[in-house]
Amino acid sequence: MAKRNSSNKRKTVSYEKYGYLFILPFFLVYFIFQLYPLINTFYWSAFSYQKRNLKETIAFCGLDNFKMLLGLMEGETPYFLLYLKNTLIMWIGGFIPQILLSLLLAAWLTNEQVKVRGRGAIKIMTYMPNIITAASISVLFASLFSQYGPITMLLKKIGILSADYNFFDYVGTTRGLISFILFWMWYGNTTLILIAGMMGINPSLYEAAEIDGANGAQTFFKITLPLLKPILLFTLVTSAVGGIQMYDIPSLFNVNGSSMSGGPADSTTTMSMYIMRLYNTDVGRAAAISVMMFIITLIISICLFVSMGDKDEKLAEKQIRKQQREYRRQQKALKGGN
Amino acid sequence: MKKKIVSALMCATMAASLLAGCGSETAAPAGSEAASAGETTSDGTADTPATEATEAAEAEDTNTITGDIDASDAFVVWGWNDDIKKILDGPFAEANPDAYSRIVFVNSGGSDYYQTQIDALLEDPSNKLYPDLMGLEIDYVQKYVQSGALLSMADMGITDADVASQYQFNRVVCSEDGSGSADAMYASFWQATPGAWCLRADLCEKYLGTTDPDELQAMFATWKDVEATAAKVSEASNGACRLLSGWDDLNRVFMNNRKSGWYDANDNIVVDDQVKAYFEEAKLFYDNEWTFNTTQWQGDWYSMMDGDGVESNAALAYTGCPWFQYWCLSSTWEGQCITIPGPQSFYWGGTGLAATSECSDPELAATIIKFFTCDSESIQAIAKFNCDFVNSADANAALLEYSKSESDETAQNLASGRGIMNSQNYLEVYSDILSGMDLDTSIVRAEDKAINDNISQYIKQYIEDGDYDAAINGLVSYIHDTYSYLNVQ
Repeated sequence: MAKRNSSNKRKTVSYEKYGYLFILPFFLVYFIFQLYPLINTFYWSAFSYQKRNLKETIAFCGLDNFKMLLGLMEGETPYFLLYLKNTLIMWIGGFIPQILLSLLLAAWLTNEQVKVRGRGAIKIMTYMPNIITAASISVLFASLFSQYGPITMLLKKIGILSADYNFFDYVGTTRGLISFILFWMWYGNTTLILIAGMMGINPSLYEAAEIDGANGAQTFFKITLPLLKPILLFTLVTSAVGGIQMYDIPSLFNVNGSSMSGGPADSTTTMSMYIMRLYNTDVGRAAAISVMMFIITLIISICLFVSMGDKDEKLAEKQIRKQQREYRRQQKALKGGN
Repeated sequence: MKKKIVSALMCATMAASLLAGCGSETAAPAGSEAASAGETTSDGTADTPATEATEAAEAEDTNTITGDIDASDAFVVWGWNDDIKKILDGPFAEANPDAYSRIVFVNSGGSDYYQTQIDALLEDPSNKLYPDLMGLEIDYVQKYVQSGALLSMADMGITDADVASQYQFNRVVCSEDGSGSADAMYASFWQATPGAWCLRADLCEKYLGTTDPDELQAMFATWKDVEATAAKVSEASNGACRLLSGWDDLNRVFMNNRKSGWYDANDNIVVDDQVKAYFEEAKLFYDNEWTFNTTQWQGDWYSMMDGDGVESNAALAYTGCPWFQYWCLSSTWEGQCITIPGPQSFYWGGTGLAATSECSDPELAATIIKFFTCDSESIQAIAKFNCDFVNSADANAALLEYSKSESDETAQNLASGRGIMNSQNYLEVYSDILSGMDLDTSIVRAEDKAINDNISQYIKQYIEDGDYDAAINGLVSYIHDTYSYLNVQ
């Protein structure tokens, strides 16, 4: 009897709990290594926490760290805003060409009519720059484009550049090179994601368009792009989050020693570099920068989600609500009439 | 078939790129060792830019521990390269075999994150890796001297008489109050690093018409002379050879001559007149194209060591010091280096030892520090062992005597600075420079490295728009922002 009971129980045993066990490690790691430090960062951003010669002074200071960073306190330069601008310029400079080229490549590689040869090879080759560590690429580019580096010398020999030209002396070229590295490193990754997105579009739509006589451009703009929106949004958000945290490439590109200040004239210093510059001396302010970066990332993500949301759907919802209101009003009017 | 070829090609490319990755990663630390073994380099590791990157990437957990860390009487010594270890393994082990057997050496493998590791350990004396003795560079020695985490020389029983033979500027740099007395000294240096201008003999012959050190010194006696010489070199070589590789080579020559530190006793930021002099001189060098405008420690800067000054670009001079000569100058300079004091004296780095406040055996710490920095006999053994220019006037006098009277390989090495000198005696030149050196090292501050590293950026700004005040305000604002405990007046 007992035996039967137990076997019955076993039959009804739910395996769901194993599912929870399997996802447990993630949550443990997340709470310990991500959520806790995140909350901690918020906490410390309200303190004046300074380190000097291995001695620490800690005092509560409210929002002073934020005021200092934004230049709202007397005698403080708003470096944070400058570095935010630098970061955004370099990110946008890399992202726009990246998304355009990726779209083009993805469209070619998924289009059955174009018939590109060696698709696999092309996919791998576009992805390759992403395999190398960012630090190595940054250093490699820095030496290629340095004043007497091979590319600079070549351009000088051909006569494109003047003899004493130095890429690193100019804001535009230094930022441009960093943007280019970002673009070159990440367009392969974006291409692969977009290809995945495009393959997910129902082929019958293309067939229908073809029967209706749509040309390549029309199918791309009227079918591919609209249906690719969620993937594009994903790419944009991940790239923006990564871009805001930009660190490794600019910090090894045109920086003097350990100063964490990207030349020329502080024009390629990013917010993460600013954190690294302060964390050894002014922990509170470094935490405040992190908090501001968190807020900026949050705002960007929300804005993008809102603006990229499905407009047709919203319009339909609006229409429905309008009709509902109209209906209720009529009902009221009818009741009033009675 | 085609597919096979394509996939084979792809495999080959992948393998090649992977190997390329390996190459740079394994090659770099070797290079960095060469450069940072000369230590003190403000960013000592930066042999080539690639080194920095791979070091940053490798960071953490690259400690190499030699010895039995679990032994109850283990005595832990920390360094950022093998310099200290080599001396411990060599002359020290020979003289003190019992003490040597207890030593556990930890090599952090790079100076970039050395401080980060040490700082964490200093807060945790119970950690078995807690340093009993550690290496320190001039760049950050003050940070630890002021921290209260070290033992003073007097605490360990080292007296003023023991350190009497050390050069005053090196003693002051290690002192809490700038006095240089044993009870205020919290570290002790074994290397002396007087600064000098290293000139390449073949280029001097070609463009200045002489290789005689005295005649050349006359051409570098004042800044006016230096400027005239720079103009002469540029003109005679048609710009292929210039006096310096970059104007930032002048950094230490001016920065070491400041009369006040970057901030005063009340933590107010002070900009010394020498800073302005440096800005002016750098702009003059830039405007007249007397340098190639390279940045120190970058590939371009190194490449100027090897040009012929006719077809390819070459720098006639580098501002250097003993370790710079034998660690950093390229093989082109072997037997070609003429060393002169130049217009004003300076120094470049220096490495010392310090015992921590929770040191497990202060007596042994004192033994090692005395061996490295106080006892003339053992200091001479170190110099004979690795050609370091040592921080002891007595030892250097004896070594000079030895290098002149003997003719064995060691004596030749000492006399020629490992074969780099042209015709001078290496020890004699640097001893002379030291005897004429009158620099106040009490101006050294814990924050100097980052500030001096960043100064070039503001000089570039000044070169471009000629507005000195704006450039200095930018620098001061940077200092205040990075070290908010320092005030702008």
